[in-house]
Amino acid sequence: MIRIRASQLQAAYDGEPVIRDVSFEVRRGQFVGLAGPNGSGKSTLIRLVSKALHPQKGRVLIDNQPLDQISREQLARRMAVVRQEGRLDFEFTVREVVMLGRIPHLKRFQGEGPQDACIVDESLRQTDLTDLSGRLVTEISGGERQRVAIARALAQQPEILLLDEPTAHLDLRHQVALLTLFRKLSRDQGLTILAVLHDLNLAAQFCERLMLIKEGQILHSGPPQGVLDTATVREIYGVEAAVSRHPVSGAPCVYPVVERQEETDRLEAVR
Amino acid sequence: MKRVAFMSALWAAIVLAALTFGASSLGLGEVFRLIGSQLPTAFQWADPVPESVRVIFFDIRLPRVLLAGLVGASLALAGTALQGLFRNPMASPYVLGISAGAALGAVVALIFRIDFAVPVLPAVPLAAFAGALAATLLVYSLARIKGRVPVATLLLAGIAMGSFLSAVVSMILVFSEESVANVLFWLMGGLSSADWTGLTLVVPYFVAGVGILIFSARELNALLLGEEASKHLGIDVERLKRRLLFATSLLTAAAVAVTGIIGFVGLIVPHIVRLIVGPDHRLLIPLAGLSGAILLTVMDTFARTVLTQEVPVGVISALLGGPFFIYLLRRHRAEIF
Repeated sequence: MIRIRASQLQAAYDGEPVIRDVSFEVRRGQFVGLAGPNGSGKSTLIRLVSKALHPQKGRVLIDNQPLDQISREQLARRMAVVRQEGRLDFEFTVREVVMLGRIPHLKRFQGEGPQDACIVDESLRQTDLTDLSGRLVTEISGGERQRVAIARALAQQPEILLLDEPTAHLDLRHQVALLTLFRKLSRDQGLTILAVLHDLNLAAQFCERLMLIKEGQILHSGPPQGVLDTATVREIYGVEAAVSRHPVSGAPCVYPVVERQEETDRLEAVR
Repeated sequence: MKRVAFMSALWAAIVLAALTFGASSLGLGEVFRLIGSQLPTAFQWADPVPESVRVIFFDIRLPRVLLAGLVGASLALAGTALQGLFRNPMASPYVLGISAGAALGAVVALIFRIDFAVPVLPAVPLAAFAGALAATLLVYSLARIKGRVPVATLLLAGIAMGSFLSAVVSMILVFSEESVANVLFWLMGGLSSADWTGLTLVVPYFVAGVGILIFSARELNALLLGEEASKHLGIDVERLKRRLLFATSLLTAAAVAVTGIIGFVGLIVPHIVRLIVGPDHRLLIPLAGLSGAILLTVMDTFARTVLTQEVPVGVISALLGGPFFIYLLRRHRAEIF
């Protein structure tokens, strides 16, 4: 079952094309990683799929339904989006912000019930925020705010989760914990996830599929072991890298090869 | 809900207390007897109150006390909505020049004696509303840069617009042949001409404005996360913004049409109430409205009784609010510059 189908998408900012002729599909329950250099159009692609930006050409189908025929309200019950969180100036507690994720499921004057409280508690637990739930969002760190945004998206109970660099400000423990959670939710609950990820090694370990984007085009797409190799990393990032296997999981691992002056010198000497 | 009930009771108590003060002071017992005389006979007390006292009480004091409450609530609510809408605790109808826009509209209607044949659409509040709405839209579009509204630009655009519009009001007054003393007293925020006619003229604006805010309370909460994030929560942000700007124009017009420009109530009250109860607009809106009503009722009672010369309540509120605004500026300086 195909959840997201994008066909021949095009988008531009100030006449400068950022997405050129992009087509892809994401199946129900897939966890797809989107990677590529800065300015390659990853965030724009997320905005196109989340109805934050209208494509100039092409269209997005969600469950075979054109995105522009789905109202924002309906979409919010099916899709949650986490973007880079700015700072919050208003003194909501962590729990209150996560509770805002229930808005799409509540009628205008309907108060939050015990069921909503349960869902929020579960989201807080999944993102390791239970102990922080009473703290003010103005007083927590950037990484903690990022987790609050993820918890809010989970409280939305979506079928599709779009994530723009969800692990950017997180320490290793929380990166691994959240990526494990995402993989589990996609496998066990059929949650469809499209995530912009910068760390190729983590992406390769956790994602079922990687899409590599450069200059607004998806150049490679497929399972990590089929996509990540020396030639691809050079093509996408312009970086020389050795690619081997993870000793435990067998997922591809990318090691950038830095040319050190002393090594060059030694090579010269040998010659 | 308990807090809303408590503040409602407090407002009612303040109204009763304010009714006892005045040029001829009444006892609380007399106030009750006067109110009772309007009720069915079963509630009436024995001795009737003299006719002169009745006139002072019902035709002058009661509408004034109620109007002070309505004006205070309107300003506090307009401030609450603007601060939520712009995610900025410095916003208020006065700072953003919306009050000045409403004042210009009202002055034009007063001086040029614009009147409509339709009695249900009296000119002064309607012109004040038009002025407020125009000023709101102008300031908003001036401050908007590439889809964002930076704090500093918004405040500067609002202050510039406010000064400009106030200058236009002064020009009209200078060149008008009318006696401007009354207009000036009104413009400084005086409630002395309060009567039932004034009250009934602005009540519809107040009710409509409050209704829209209560309707939008939860969406205002989501908006605090930012425009894009609230879109992803299913909110039509552009429509919400239009609705809120319309409501703040209604509320500002209701306040300004009665009492001219009263600064700072719209800034201080939402800020203090938010400090106490947090930023949830479902609580903030009723509590800020009631607090604004209480504050202005107290200040107006003070303005009309304590000093030998009656001082416009707008002057009193600025005397108290100015220093508070400077305190806020200092506290938030790091965020603005």
